[in-house]
Amino acid sequence: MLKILYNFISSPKIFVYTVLWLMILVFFGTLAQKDIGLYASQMKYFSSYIFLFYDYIPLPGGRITLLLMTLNLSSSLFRKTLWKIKKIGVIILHIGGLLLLLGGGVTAIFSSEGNMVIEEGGKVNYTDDYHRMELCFVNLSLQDSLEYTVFDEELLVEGNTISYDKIGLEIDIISRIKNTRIQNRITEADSVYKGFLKQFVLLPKEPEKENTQNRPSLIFRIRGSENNADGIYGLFLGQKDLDIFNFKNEKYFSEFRKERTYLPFSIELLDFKKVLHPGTQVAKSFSSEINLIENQIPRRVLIQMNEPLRHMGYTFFQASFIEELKSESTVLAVVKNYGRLFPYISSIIMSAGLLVHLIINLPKMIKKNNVTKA
Amino acid sequence: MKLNIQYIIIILSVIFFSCENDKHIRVYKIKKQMPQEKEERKITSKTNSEFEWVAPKEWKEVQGHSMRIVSFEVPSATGLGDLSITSFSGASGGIQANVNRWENQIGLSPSSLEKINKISESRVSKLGKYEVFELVNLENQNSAIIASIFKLKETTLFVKLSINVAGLKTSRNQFINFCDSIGFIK
Repeated sequence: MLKILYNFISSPKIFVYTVLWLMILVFFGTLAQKDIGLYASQMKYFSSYIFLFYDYIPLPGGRITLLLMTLNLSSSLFRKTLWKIKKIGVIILHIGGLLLLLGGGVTAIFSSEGNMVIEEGGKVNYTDDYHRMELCFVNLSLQDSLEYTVFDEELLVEGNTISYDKIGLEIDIISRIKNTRIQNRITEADSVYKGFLKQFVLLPKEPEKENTQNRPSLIFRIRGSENNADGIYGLFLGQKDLDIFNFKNEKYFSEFRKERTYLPFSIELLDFKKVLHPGTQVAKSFSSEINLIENQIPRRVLIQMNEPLRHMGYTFFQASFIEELKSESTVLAVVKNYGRLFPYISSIIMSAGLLVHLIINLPKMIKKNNVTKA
Repeated sequence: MKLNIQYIIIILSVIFFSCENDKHIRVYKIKKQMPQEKEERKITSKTNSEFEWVAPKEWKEVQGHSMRIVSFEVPSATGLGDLSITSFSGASGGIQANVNRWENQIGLSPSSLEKINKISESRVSKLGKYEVFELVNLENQNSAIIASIFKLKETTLFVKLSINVAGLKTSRNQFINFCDSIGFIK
């Protein structure tokens, strides 16, 4: 049984079919970007294990295909017929390919990307994820600090109940809306609705193609506060008027925001500059003069288009800017990619493998060519 | 030992699912911002009230109306502004009534509560959450108000800066830092 399984997994045919399937995925994934946007297309075709084609037909997604390819390549390395000196080039090539796939896996699992918005004169030490959200409760009652209790994206699923004993809370996720329309209540709200939801309702509207243009919201019920804070609350991204509750004589407010990652250093925006194309309002180039502050020691750096700052595994690209009446803010795209070097290393290894294979087989090829000519 | 496919599936499943991290709740603390620790140019000021704050060095504490907890002259390149802190019991008319009153003072027509909520900015100070309202009369460059309302347990605290439009732009950040710094005297 094991042998049959091994022969199946290590078959070169599997590699050929998975490569073909990846080409089909790339084709349909690229076309789908027009209708569902870049992020949704990426999630559906490449970051999924299985996806529904036309909402009915389940097909293998990018992840399962690449996983199968990795298993195929690694198991083929155990084939006895491969381990011969004349096949050293092929072995090197296989190892290079495996390393490339491994790097892809590392990037998919561990890498993060987001953005950092800094107002001129302001200092920021965190990044906001582009897509992942989090619900946080902030305890305001501590003397010299704010205590954040953060519930990750994975818990914020409709119908899920989050029990958090530390503050004695039970949170039922009632609704998670991808893109929200906020509307005034026409009639008086039931007493179960608290805070913002007393006056407004959160309604779903057609999501935008680009996920970053949506305004997500969350409706949840709080139980176990042992006072009149129990009830249904609503939060949306970018909400200004945050509701304050009392739990066990401590004051909290809650916030539904982009997932925040704190950095071991902070960045202060000293000056933001933009150059416009003459006679237009279209930006030609923009740059941010910043202070990179680590252990309270500032270092002046200039980040501009195509000249990112790389520091402690993070890369900060000049991505955009926000111009307001009173101030300017820079938007830096922040990427932490643990698998950044894998493609370079594996490409070198694969090139070396091909070269070795060519050199080993060259005499044979010349000989064959001479025989054919004769 | 003879393994069959069922065992392999079970072992692989255990390996894969044990990798899932089910701790999706994080707790961390962030130190509240203390402006006086960071900027030497600011000084701490106290009066006989229950509140304390950190005011910019350039601001001059002056004798104001008896209803005021404190008054400051706020200098800017285009003239002086008048900042006051007052405290009244209860909701003191609520947000809309007070914002409408300030709008009237600078010649603006009163806004609805919905509009006021849209233009307000929520911030957190040592006293807790508060709202900031910025009112500018574009037809009269001499009239602008930036004000904050702190709803406390039994009282409402008002911080109001009356200044010209250009002065508001330059003093805005100082005003916000000042409001963030207001707390109860320890």
